[in-house]
Amino acid sequence: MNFARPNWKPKQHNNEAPSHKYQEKKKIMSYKLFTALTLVALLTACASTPESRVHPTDPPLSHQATLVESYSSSEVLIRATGMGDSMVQARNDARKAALWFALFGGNNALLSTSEQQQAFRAQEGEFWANVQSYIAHEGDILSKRVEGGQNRIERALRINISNLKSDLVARNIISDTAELSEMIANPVISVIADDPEGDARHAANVFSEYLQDRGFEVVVLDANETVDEIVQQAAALEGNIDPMYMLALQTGSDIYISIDAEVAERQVAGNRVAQSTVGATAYYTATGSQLGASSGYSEERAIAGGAALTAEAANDAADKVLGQINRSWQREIQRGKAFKVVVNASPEVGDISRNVHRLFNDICNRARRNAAGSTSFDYTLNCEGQDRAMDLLMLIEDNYQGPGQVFRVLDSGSFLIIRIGNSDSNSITIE
Amino acid sequence: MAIALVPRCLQSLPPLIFSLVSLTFATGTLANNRFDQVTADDTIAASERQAVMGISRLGLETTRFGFPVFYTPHEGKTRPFGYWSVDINQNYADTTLAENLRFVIPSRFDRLIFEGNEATVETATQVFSNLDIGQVIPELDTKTRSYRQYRNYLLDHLNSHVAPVMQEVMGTAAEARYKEMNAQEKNTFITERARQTGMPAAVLEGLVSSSYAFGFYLPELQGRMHISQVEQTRLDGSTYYVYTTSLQAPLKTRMMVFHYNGKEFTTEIQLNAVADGVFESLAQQLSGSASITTSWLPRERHAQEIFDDMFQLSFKDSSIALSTRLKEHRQYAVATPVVDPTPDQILLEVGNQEDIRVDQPFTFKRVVDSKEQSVGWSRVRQPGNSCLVLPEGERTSSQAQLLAGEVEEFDLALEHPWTGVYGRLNGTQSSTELSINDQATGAGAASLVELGFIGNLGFLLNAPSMSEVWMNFDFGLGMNSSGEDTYDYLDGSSVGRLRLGAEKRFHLGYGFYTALGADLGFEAHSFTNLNNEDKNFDLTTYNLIPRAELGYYFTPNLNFFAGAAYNQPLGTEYNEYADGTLIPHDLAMQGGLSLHAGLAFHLGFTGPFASMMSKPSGECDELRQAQLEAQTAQQ
Repeated sequence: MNFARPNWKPKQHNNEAPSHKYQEKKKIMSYKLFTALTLVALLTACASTPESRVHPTDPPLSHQATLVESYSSSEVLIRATGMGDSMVQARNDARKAALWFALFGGNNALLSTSEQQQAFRAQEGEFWANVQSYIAHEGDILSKRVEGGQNRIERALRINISNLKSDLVARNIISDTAELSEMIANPVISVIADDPEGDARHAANVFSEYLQDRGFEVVVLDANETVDEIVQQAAALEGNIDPMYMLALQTGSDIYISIDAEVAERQVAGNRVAQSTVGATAYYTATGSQLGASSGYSEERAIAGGAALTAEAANDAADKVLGQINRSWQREIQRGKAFKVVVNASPEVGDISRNVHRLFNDICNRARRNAAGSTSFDYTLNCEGQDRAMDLLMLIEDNYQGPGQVFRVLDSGSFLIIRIGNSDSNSITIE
Repeated sequence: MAIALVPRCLQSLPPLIFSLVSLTFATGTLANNRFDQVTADDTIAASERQAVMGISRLGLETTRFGFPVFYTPHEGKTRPFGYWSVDINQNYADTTLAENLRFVIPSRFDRLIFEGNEATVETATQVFSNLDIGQVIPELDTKTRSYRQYRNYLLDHLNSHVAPVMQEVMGTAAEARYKEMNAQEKNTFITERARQTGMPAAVLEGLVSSSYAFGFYLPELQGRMHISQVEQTRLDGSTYYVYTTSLQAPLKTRMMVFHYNGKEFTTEIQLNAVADGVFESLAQQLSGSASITTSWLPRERHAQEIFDDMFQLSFKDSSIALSTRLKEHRQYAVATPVVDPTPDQILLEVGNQEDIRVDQPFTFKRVVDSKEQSVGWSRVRQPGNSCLVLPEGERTSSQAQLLAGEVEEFDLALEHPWTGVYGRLNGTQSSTELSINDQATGAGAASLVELGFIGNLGFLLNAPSMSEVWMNFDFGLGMNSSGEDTYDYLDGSSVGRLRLGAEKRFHLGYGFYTALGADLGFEAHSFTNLNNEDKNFDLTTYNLIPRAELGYYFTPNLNFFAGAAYNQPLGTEYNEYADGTLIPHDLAMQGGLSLHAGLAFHLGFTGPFASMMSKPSGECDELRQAQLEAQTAQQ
């Protein structure tokens, strides 16, 4: 660079005044010099102090993240990749990538619908800028690379899902879910251990703790609990005599999850190593249909006992099944909440099958007749605005047109048994 | 093995950059299991402790070594004097091995010891002793064998007697070893909420299926003995003779690394303490030498005493050399991610537990575009107290200083194999001048080529106060300048110089350093009288040479230096002319400035500094022992 070479300065002899031509030349040279220096200054400034291209409100550069595990009911552990021109940028990008994963990635993404995602986009800057407030714990850096001049790090971060969800609700981003919650509460879930004495019971407890912390009403049952005779009769009408199904009906849950667990062990160099597998199958109580199934695994570990391993596996299974339940439940409640309704007609009222069928079709979005005898009818109803079986009973009572009156025999969550006759009775007869 | 003309450390000179090691790393972000997902990958993973069994028997090719002996009588010619033999006792060899085994197996390793029908496993925090292995492991015999035979014998012994019980023994200590690992599962459900160590089975299988056995072997020695008759003068002027007997027979100890893979031992690495290049050879000769002075002409029986002396030091030097060469293999070098990259105080989470010494160099590795590159290097100024037996909060990190290149947080700091000793070659131009009767002659300015050794005292002594203090021995040969004007008959002949000195280096960054130091020199000048050969004369001077240098490291193993010194003679000695007549004049060497420049390159042997090398720190082992004893007392 020779911009500032001294040759622009004329030789002056005996204090002689510079000529006009020279003054012009000097002026032009000065302009050139000024322009050149300005250009150099600008280029230098650009080159030496590059302005960060990433702003705090920008979304992550990286969208590489993977779920490690559901650490607790309110926190998930995510291994995320961060990119940036500097380590500081890469660290922050990893935080954002982990947050991105919690929002959009995996089976339990908080923003699962396009409406939710659109609503988020309008306010996302604040979430990215405040990413730190959703980080419950930052682990060590797990890898570091430079690719194409850009730092890439990996890090395990714990995201506080509860806080994140609260903020999303507060900003009406997941308002659909909130409204649904108001309209129809989260499903009541029965968790039933298939072996009340074994690891399954422990797994069921972990499962219920997991679900409770996510706002679900949970009932833990043992498979050997006694089932009411009426429930047995009602269940038998449809032909489903699975004790767990009947237990769920009796409990009044919307969904029931059957849990089985197994701990396999072996010896390695004198050390006991064990691995727990927890299987979870979720069903709609009203229909008895399966809505999801998954198995959770613990690592195979050298460990005394199996409780911790079962808990680890149960957490894993719960995390997988919950995603299935959430998606399925949201679909289901759009059709209206499902009820299993068993109607028993007293002989004196005659054939009321048409009256019942018409009634159910009138008051509910959908009515499916599962099984029927001459005096007993088994329906699955999807009704909007009805949260509990009692609400549905009142609706039926108000709208029933036909011989006899509607009497309640049993109501339990999404399970309703009614008798239509001329007088009240606590018993029903199922053919 | 032929001595290479170009030492290994100089072979990297042309590119003048660190050699790049290409490693293929997994590129996927998805790891195999939970443990892998929460532990560091190869790009920044800290090294883990290895379990090592040091085989306590030194294999011998022969128990009797023979050396040709030469005798040089006073003012006579050297002549063959015979062929003397010395014996090496197996117990003596094994004891020497045991004394030096710590250089190869310091406390960075977990140790396996088999004795009779019991085994002991020493980890950083625990000692599992008296483990009944259900069978007696026979002792290794004391037969002499060739290297190949000995290696096969060891391998057979390990596989027949040790391998069948290895898994069980290793399994006993597996939980303790897992707790000492860097790659532990942290912050997961099982570790934090269930509060269980929960060692993954894959890690357990890895721990019980991988260990090493180190075996050592001493091949037949090559060397020579030399007896010199030296005339000595008593105070009354009478003379007598003494005999200096020296032996030069550096040990070329060999080392075998056997890897246990869960089923059997296989030979993994074979190392040889053989010099690479002239300087290493010279260094090895210096540590492999010993001498005694007697007032009588020694006999063969005196050779044994010299040999025993020589054997100790040379074995130590070869052990250090083998340890250094072992660290050239990545799995035996300490690696740790950089915690704090502040250039003057880089924090590394290693220390005395890993035998990190003062001024230990670390190179910084970074994976750039899927290739691992060296981006800078440093030296440890203050080794940390990293004893794993201490609570985590009481451990301290090593502090290092960046000397060249750059460092960022979470670059991988990799231990650089280093002995702390360099060979060096430099040219010196001194402007000292001979004066005769206080008149300057113009003669005596020496042009020297010097060859020497320089060792880092901080590293050798493992003393923080000596960090970057270097001690040097240099020997130079050259030519004197001739006289001028009225002394133009004085022809400068040869000059020799021996220097012993020290310097303190101050690093400036970017590989540059300055050094201030001083030497005590002994110079011998010869002058020829062109007018009368009988009046040729020699003189010797004792000099103090303060000096200042500027140096530049091309790599941690190679540096250039140049400097200026003032060569101040403290005394001049002369006696007689070549014809035997006393010199009647007053001769003196006048002080003068000297300039020098040269290259220094790392040596794999400590050579003349071998005796100064302190043993690896046993602080952590002592601390562990004290804690275990306290626990036992409490119970």
